[in-house]
Amino acid sequence: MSKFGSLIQKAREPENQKTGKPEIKKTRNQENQNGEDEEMVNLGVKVSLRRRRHWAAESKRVGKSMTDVIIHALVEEFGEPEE
Amino acid sequence: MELDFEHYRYHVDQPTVFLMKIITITGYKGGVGKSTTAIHLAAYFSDLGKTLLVDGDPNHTALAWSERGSLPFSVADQRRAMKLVSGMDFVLIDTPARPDSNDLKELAKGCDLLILPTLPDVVSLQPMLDTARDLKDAHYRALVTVAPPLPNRDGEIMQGDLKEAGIPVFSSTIRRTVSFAKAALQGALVRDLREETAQAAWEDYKSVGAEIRRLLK
Repeated sequence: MSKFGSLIQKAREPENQKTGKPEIKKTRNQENQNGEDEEMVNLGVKVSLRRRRHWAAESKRVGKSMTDVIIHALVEEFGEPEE
Repeated sequence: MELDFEHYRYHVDQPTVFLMKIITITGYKGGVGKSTTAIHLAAYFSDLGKTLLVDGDPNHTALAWSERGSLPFSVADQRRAMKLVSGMDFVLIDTPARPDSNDLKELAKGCDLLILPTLPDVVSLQPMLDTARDLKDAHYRALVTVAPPLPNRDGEIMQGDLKEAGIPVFSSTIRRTVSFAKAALQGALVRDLREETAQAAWEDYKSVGAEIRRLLK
């Protein structure tokens, strides 16, 4: 096998794959207009398994991540923090 | 608050990527911007997910670039890449100029997309045609780099020549600017430089990145 073949083979192994959507990393500019680094934290929401399954399936079907939908909804409702 | 999914689904513009994508930057000619392209596309994808740039060039241009400063993604040679590849969202491979035929065959078979940078001059056309011939039906796209500013139309002419030769080519081109050399010297990206030309060059790579995302959907 060529030198790149073994790397590609390893990359393609199922256990080396992420199965969900990669977490979208916000760039500095997107997150903070002043260009300062901000600490990033998780935002968890407890919902029923039935709802999560439904939303996960819909999210996959329409190609929009749940994270983006939630962030968009929060921004729509409450806006962005003042700089 | 109840989420009205129907309301939001059309307002969020972010594609979903479910598996690791492997993109190779290769070609039969040196000095066409392979490493510069690999580094800036890795930067583009690192905003979307965990990204690894594999420096397969014995000159280690990308590794040296990253060691001079700080890049927002991992850069590794092939040996170290074997340890880092697990769990990545995007893997970009920067090959040496003129990779041997076995390597090219493996890359063509295993990658989601091969990018073939080329300069907009007649000397670069033949190596591009040779690479395309050897890639056969692999998923690849030519990228015109170092395109001179208007009114010079060499970049556009090269795109036309490639299309005429049946070679798929990116609609975006990468402009010629000294900002790339400055960025390389600082171990930074052109987007980090406070220069209008540098920001415009970053926009070029963002356009190419957006094209790649559409191609890999």
